[in-house]
Amino acid sequence: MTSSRQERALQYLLGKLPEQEAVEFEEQCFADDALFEEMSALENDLIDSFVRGELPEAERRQFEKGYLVTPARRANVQFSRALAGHLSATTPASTQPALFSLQTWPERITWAAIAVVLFVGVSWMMVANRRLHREIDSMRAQQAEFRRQEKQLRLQIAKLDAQMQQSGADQQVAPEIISLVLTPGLNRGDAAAKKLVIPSPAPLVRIDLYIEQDDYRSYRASVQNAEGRRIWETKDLKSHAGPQGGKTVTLEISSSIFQSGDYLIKLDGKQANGPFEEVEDYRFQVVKR
Amino acid sequence: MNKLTREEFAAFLAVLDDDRSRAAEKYEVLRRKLVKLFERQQCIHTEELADETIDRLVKKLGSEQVRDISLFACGIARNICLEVRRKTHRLVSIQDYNQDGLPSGDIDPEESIIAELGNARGLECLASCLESLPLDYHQLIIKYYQGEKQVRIKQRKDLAKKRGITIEALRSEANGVRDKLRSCVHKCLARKRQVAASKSNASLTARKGETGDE
Repeated sequence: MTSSRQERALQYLLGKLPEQEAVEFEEQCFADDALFEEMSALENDLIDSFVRGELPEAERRQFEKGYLVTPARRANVQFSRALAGHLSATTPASTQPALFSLQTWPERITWAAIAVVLFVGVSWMMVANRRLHREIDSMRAQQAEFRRQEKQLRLQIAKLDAQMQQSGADQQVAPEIISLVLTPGLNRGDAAAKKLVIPSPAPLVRIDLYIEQDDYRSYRASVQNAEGRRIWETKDLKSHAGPQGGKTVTLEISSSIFQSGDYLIKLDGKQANGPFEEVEDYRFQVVKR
Repeated sequence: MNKLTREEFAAFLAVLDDDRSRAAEKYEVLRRKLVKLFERQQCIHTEELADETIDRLVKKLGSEQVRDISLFACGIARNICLEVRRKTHRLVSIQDYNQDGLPSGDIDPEESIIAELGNARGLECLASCLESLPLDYHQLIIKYYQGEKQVRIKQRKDLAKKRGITIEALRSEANGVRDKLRSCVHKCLARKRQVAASKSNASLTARKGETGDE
């Protein structure tokens, strides 16, 4: 119904049309079934809106004044009220629109598309999941292999350590400098001679000569082998604080001059302008490996 | 009910349409149009007046050439309305008119319907008539009228889509079913009223008999 026809029908129902126009409209309704049905439907909508309180105030007043003029029309309103009351009191599940209703082709196509997408998605996820599981299994196997190799390496290291320990404490890795502290008097006598183990290749030997009294400005030291031959000598040595307290004169000698055997170090002291005076003798034994 | 014989009614339907089913539909529409006309004209007994109009129409069709049956029926209805008014004016004094401009002694059956629709009897009739509707119509009337405004609008769109028709066509269809339902309820109430009146008369007669015995 066009808006102008609808407006005319509304005016007719509310008694707002002049009598002649109302008669004409009535005749049109008699001649045109479609117009009559539209007018009738509009009337019912109007009644329903009134009953449900959905009419604006002005229209409601007009309805009461212009429409509710006969018992028959009031009965129509009462019927609408009863119907609305009955329907609101009964809300059967069958009247609720189904959530997944497939009543039209667009709905069917939509749901079919969703089903296909879901199927493809789930299938892809299953394949990906299986692949990931395989990768995880592979990584676990690699990890186990690494652990096994690590264990073997640890065993080898332990074995090597044991072998090294077994080869003795003397078979340590050669340090660059071998230190020896010699004390006068205590070292006298073969039984008490200190042993200096020199590994190969030959490192530098540092010997700290402990002195009981530091009475000289400088010192001179010489090394003699078992045959009494002087094999090494140095002078202008200065005393300094020793590692165990007291005073010490330190010698640094290349180990290459030593062979396995007994040695004697003679330490002489000198005043500012005086001659050298004998201070101490130090004995030690060299073992070359 | 109108006073036509079965043969006259069948002949009238044949005039309306060759197809008996379509003819019955056309008859129903014509009758509804007449009822609406009498309602607007503020006549009482609208259903009976509609039947009276059709009676006269059928009689005329036997003796006159009628080009448009609907418009012809409209003219007859207006005449009947005028006759009723003249008759009422002749018989009822001005003091006897009520606020609605209707004779106070003449009770419109619609007034009874208004009262009865709100009580248990009316609701019983409504429920019974709803149940008697064909399933398709039953579903249509429920889905078309149930729920709040916005819900109804959506439901109607869905319903029209489902049925493959326009909203206007759906509206017209629902309107027709609603009128059938209303007519069913009115008839149901009339029957119940008759039964109640019969019982009341029987009771009154029995009481009078008892009084007479005494």
